[in-house]
Amino acid sequence: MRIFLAGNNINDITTVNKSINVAFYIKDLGKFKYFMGLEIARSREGIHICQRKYVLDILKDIGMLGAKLVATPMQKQSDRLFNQEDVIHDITTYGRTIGHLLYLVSTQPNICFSVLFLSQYVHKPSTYHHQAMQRVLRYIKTSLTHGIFYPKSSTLHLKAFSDSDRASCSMTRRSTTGLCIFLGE
Amino acid sequence: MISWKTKKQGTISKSSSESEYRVFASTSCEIQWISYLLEDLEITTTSVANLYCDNQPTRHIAHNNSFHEQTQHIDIDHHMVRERWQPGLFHLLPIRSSEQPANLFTKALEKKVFNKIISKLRVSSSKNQIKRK
Repeated sequence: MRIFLAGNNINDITTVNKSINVAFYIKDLGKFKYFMGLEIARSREGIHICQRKYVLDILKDIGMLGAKLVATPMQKQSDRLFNQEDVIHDITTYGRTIGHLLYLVSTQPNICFSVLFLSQYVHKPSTYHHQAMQRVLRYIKTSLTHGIFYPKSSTLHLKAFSDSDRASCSMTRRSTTGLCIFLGE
Repeated sequence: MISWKTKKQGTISKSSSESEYRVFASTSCEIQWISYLLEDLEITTTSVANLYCDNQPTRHIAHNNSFHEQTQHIDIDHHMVRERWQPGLFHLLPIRSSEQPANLFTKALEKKVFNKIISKLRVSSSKNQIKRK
C-alpha cells in the first residue's frame, strides 16, 4: 500500500511521516516521481505531470509505435461517424484501447473530446470509428510528452469557461457539454 | 487547469442558448464544488470566480428574472444558476467565441485553433513550459 503526503510545509510532512512510522512499518520512497503511469517533474517554475511511458505502452500494445504523426486528434466530424453500419468484429481491442485513452485524458485534456466521442461507440464500433481511434493514437504519439503544467507563481483565482455544441450528434440531435475550470493562470 | 469535462447532454435542446444554459448550470455546480473543496483545504481565493460564456442570450437569461416563453422548460437549470450566481459565487463575463478555450471540449477543431487553445491551457511538454519563461 502506498500513501502520499502533500503539503506546503516540509516539517509538517516529516512529523506526520514519523507518527505513522511509530504505528506501522513504513519505507519512505522519497519525492513523488512516478505513480500509475503519471510522471511528475518538479522544477523551480512549477510541477509538470505527463504520461509519456503510458502513451508508449498503449502504442506498443496496439502495435502502432511506427505510426505517422498528425497535428490534431480528430478531423471535423462527418455524418458517417454516427452511422452504425459496417460494424467491426474486434470490439475487444477497440474497447481496451478506449479504456487506455480514457485514463490518458487525466493529463492530456486535448484528446478529451475525441476520446469521449469514440467511447460512446464501444459496444458497436464501425470501421470509421476504428479509423478515428487510430488517428487519436497517431496524435498522442505527436503529443507524447504533453502534460499539464501547474506554475508555482500563480494567483488563486477561479476561472470557468462553459461552451456547448448544439445538436452535434446527428443521430439523436443531442448537444455536447464542454467546460473547463482554471485555478490561477 | 484543474477541471474539465465533455459530455453528451441527456436531453435535446431546441436552441443553442438552451444547450449553453444547461452547460452553464453544470459549470456553476462544478464551481460550487471546487469552492467548497478549497474552503475545506483552507485555501482562500484572491477574488470571486469568473464564469466566461460566449453566448449573449444565455447571459441575458441568467441576468433576467422574467421568463421568456421559449425558456420556460429550462427553469430548473435557471434557478440552479441563479441560486449560485446571486449570492456572488461567481461573476458572469462575456468572451469572444474565437477565444473560448472550452471549444476544445465540444467539437473537433482544425489545427490552427486547436494549437492556440492548447497553448492557452498550458498543455505542452515540460521543456516548452520552461522556455516560455
